[in-house]
Amino acid sequence: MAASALNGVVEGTGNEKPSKGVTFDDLYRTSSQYRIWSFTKDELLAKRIETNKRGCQITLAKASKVKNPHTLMFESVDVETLTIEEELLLINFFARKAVGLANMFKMPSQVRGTAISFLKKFYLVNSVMEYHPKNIMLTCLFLAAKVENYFISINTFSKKINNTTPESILKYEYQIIKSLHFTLMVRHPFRSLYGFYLDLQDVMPRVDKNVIGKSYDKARGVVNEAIMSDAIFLFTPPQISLAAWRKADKELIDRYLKKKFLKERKSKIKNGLVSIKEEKEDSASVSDSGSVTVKKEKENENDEKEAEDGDENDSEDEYRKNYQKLLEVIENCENTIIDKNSREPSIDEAKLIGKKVHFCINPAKTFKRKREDADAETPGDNSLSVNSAASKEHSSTAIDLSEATKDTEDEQESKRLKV
Amino acid sequence: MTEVVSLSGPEQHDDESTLKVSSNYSKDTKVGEGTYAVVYVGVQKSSHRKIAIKEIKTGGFKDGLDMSAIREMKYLQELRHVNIIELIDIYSEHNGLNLILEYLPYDLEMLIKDKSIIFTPANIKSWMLMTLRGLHHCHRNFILHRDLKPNNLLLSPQGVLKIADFGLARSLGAPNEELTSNVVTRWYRAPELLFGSKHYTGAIDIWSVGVIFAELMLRTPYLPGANDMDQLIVTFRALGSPTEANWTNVSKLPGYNKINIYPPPTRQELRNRFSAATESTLDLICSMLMLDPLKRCTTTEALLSKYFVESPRATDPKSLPKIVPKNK
Amino acid sequence: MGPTKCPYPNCNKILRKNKFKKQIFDDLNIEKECDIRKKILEIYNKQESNFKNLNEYNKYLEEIETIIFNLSHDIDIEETTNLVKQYELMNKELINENNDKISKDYENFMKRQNLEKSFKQTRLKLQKEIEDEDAKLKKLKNLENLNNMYDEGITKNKNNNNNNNNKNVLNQMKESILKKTSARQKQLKELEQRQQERLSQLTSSFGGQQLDDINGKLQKPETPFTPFNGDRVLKLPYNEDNDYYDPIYFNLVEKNDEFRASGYNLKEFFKRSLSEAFIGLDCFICDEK
Repeated sequence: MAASALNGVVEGTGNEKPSKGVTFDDLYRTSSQYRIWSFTKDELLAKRIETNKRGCQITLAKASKVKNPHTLMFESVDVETLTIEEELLLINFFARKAVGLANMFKMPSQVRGTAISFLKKFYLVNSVMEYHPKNIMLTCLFLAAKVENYFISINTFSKKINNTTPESILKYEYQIIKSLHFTLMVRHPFRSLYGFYLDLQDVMPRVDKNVIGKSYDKARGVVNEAIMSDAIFLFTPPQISLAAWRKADKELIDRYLKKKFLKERKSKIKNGLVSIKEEKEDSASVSDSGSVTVKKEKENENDEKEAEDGDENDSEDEYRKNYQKLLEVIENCENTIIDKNSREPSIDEAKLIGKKVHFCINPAKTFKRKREDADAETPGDNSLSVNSAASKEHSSTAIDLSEATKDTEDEQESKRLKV
Repeated sequence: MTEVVSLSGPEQHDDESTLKVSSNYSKDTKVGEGTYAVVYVGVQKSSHRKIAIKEIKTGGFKDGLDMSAIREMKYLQELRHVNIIELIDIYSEHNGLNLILEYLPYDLEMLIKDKSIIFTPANIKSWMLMTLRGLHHCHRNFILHRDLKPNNLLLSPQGVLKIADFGLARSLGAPNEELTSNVVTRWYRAPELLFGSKHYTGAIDIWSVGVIFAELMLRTPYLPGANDMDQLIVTFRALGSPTEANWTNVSKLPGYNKINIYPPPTRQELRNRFSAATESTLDLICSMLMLDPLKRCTTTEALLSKYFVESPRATDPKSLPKIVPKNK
Repeated sequence: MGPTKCPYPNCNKILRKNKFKKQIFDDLNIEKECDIRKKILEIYNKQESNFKNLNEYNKYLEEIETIIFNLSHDIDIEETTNLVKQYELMNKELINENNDKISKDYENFMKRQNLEKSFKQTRLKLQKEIEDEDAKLKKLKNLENLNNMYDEGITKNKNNNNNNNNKNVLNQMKESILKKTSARQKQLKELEQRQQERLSQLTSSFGGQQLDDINGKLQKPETPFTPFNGDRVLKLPYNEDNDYYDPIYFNLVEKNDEFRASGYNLKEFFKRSLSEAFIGLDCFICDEK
C-alpha cells in the first residue's frame, strides 16, 4: 500500500534494503485529508443520511416531551425535521456568509477555504438540527484564522461582528475540533492552481503569458465556487484546480493536458527528460480553435513513430490510459462543482429552513408560535403579540423576546443577516 | 506500528467514543509540566505499549485553544516519519485535550551533558543522519520546525532519534506573508532571525542543525549568547561578521546594525577547534553554518554530502550510547 | 663452572647458570609468583574468543588462578604440576595456534601505532604548508590592494603600463599559490582517505577494543549506504529550471531587498507551488477508497 511506502522506512541508518523511492502521490496519501476526509460519492451520501437520521431522532425525542409554559405539563409537539437537502442548503447559505465575513476581515484565501472546509466537515458528523450553522460558522472562521496563522484575537473578532460575545463564539470551538477528529490541516486548490499556472508557462511556452494570466484569474473565480461544493471530499486539490480551470477555459486546459500527459510521457520514455518543447506543436496551436484538427494530425504522426518503437507501446498505452482516467476524473469534478447540492439557496428558502431549524433545536418555541398564530387574528391585544407580529417579519431565524439570552442572539443575528 | 485508533475515521458520537478511546490509555505518573501542558507517562492498554500523554490545559488561553496546541496537533497529524515523534491518538476529556505520543525517555541534551558517555565520530554521524532525515521530511512538506535544539531531539529506547515539539512550527510563507523573527531558542537562532528577517525559509532549521552538530563534537554549546545582542557578537566572533560581500543585502534587514567586524575563521582554526573532525566533516558543518541563508545547504544537499559516505559508517541506532537509568 | 648439585642438604635439584635470572622484586614471594604466572600463562593461553560465553571464560580464569596460587604457596605441587602437564599435552595444537594469533595481534597493533604516527606527522606537515600558503596569499592580497589603490591614484596621471605589469605578476603569483593550496588540500583529503582504508584493513581482536571502523565491519549484513534510505522523491513531474514569470510576486520580491537577505528565493516558492500541483494528482479517490 502506498502509505506504507513511507511508513516502511523503518530503521535508522541505511543498513536495510532501500525501497524504490517515493512519489508525490505517496506524499499526498499520508495527509489526513486523504486518510480521513476523502470519500466516494456513496460514502458521502451514506454519512449524510446517517447524520440526518440521528438529527431527526434527537429532535423528535426532544419534541416528545416539552414543557408547555402555559399548562406546565409535558406534552409532545409537532416539529418538522429537516431533509438532507434542506440541511445542505442552509449550510451553503452560511458558508457564503462566512466568505463575506472573511472578506471584511481581509483574510487570505487560505483562511476562507479552511473555514468552509471546517464547516462542511462539522456537518458530516453533526446535524444542523443539533447545532445551528450561524453559530458554528462564526467559530469555524475564528478557528480557521488561528490555524492558518492569521490570528485575530477573540475580542477583536467578536467586536466586529454585531453583538456576539467571546463566549458565544468560543463555546463551540472544542466541539468543532473534536468533530474534525483533530485534523486541522487542509490543502486547498488555490496553490495547486498557481502551480499549474507556472507549469503552463513551461509546457506551452508559445502561449502569451498574459493570456495565461487572464485565464488563471478566471479560473480562480471558479475555484472559489468549487470549495463550496462536495468536490473537496471527492477529489484531490490538483484535480479540483484543473477541473475549475477547465470549466473556465476548456480549450486551453485540454491542450495543456494533452501536451503534458500524453506527449510528455512519450518523450520521457525516449529521453528521460521531464518536459519537452514541441516547437511544431506550438506553432500550430496558438490561440485559435482551428488548431485542434492540426494538432490531431501531428498526434497521429507521433503515434506512428511510436508504433515503430516496439515495447514502448505498452508503457504508452499505460500513459494513454492514465490520461483518459485523469480527463474522466476532471470531468466528474467539473460536474460536482456545479451540482445542485452546492447551490446557494434563495433568501426565502433560507428563511424557511432557518425557521424550521429554530424549532428543531428548541421545540418549546412551538408553543409561542401557536400563540402567535392565534394572536395574529386579534392584533394589538397584548404586548407579546405586538412583539411577535414584529418578529414575524425578521424571520430568517424566528425570534421570541421573552425567552432567555439565546434568543437575543438570534434576534441580533437575524438583524445582521437582513443587512 | 499500531494503527491509529480514533483518528482513523469519523466515528460515532461524542461521549461514547471518547470513553472508548480514553479507557484504552492509562495515565500513570506525571513526568513534566510546561506552560501549556502537563505530561504523563502511561500505557496503551490494547498493546501494552508505553506512551506519553500530553494533557493540554484549556481555559488558560483567553482566545480559546492555545496556538502551540493547535500547531502540534496540526503538524503531527500530517508528518508521519520514523525520525519524527509519532502522534498516536488524541482524545478530549472534561474539556481538556490529551495528545497521546510515543514514549521517548531521553533527549540529545541529556546525552551531551552526561560526560561519562563517550561519543565516537560514528555516533555523531548517526544522530546527524537521523536528524537530517526527519528534517528533510518536514521541509519537503513545506513545514518549518523553528525550534530545533538538542532538547527537542528525543531518543527512543532502540536508539532512534526523533524530532519533537512542533509547537512553533509553521508552513513556509508565501511572498506576501510576514513571519515573526522571534523564533528558535536563542543559541540555535540563525543570523537572519537575529537581524529580524520576516521572510525566512527552511535555512533557519539547517542553521540550528549545524549548531547542534558543533555541540555534539564539542560537548558544550557552541554559540551561547547571554542575550539577543550578545548572541550576535558570539555568533560573529566564532564565524565571522557578515558583510555585503559575503551576504548580499544584509544591511537591508530590519534588525541590522553595525557590529564589530570579526574575520571569518580559517580552516586551520576550525580544525583546531574541532579536533576530531575530518575534512568532509568540516566541509559539511561550514556549509550548514553559512551566514548567508542562500548559501546554506539544504537537507537534500546535506544528506548527499561526502561526510555520510566516508568512513566511519554511521552507527546502527541499536548500538548508540544510551543513558542507563539509575534506578527504577 | 658447569652444572652442580644444589648445596642445600635436602634439595637435589641440578643448578645451571642459565636458569638463574635477575631479581626484579624485593619480595621473593612476588617474584616467585610472577615467574609461575608467566610459565602457566604460556600454556594456558586461551582467550575470551575461544569460549562460548562469559561464564565459561571466567571459570577457565579461575582455574588458572587456582593453579598459580597452589604452585606459589606450595600446595598440592605434584598434583597441580601433573594437571598442567596433562593439559599441555592434550592442547598442544591449540596452544600453538593461540600463540600465533597473539603474536600476530601484537604485530598488527604495532603496525597500527606506526601508521597513526606517520599519518599524524604527514597531516601536520600538510596543514602547516597550507597555513603558510594562506599567509602568503594574504600578503599578496594586501599587496594587490595597495596596488589597486596606487592604480586609482595613478590613473589620474595616465600612467598605466607599469601597474598593469605589476598586476599581472601579482595575479600570477596568486594563482600559483592558490593552485598549490588546493593541491595540498586535495592531498590532505586523500591522505585521510588512505588512512581510513589502511586502518580498516588491520583487523584486531584486541581485548574488546571498540574501534568505529571495526564496528562498521561487524555490522551484518553489509548493505550499501543510502542517505535517504529510499525515502526520496526522485522524478520531478515539472521542470525545475524554467524561468517562471509572475508579475505580482516579482515586483514584490524585487523591490524589497529584504527578501534576498532573508534567503527567500522566489524560485523555491515556485517549486513549492509546482509540487502542490502534482501532489495527489494521480490519487483517484473513487478507486482507492
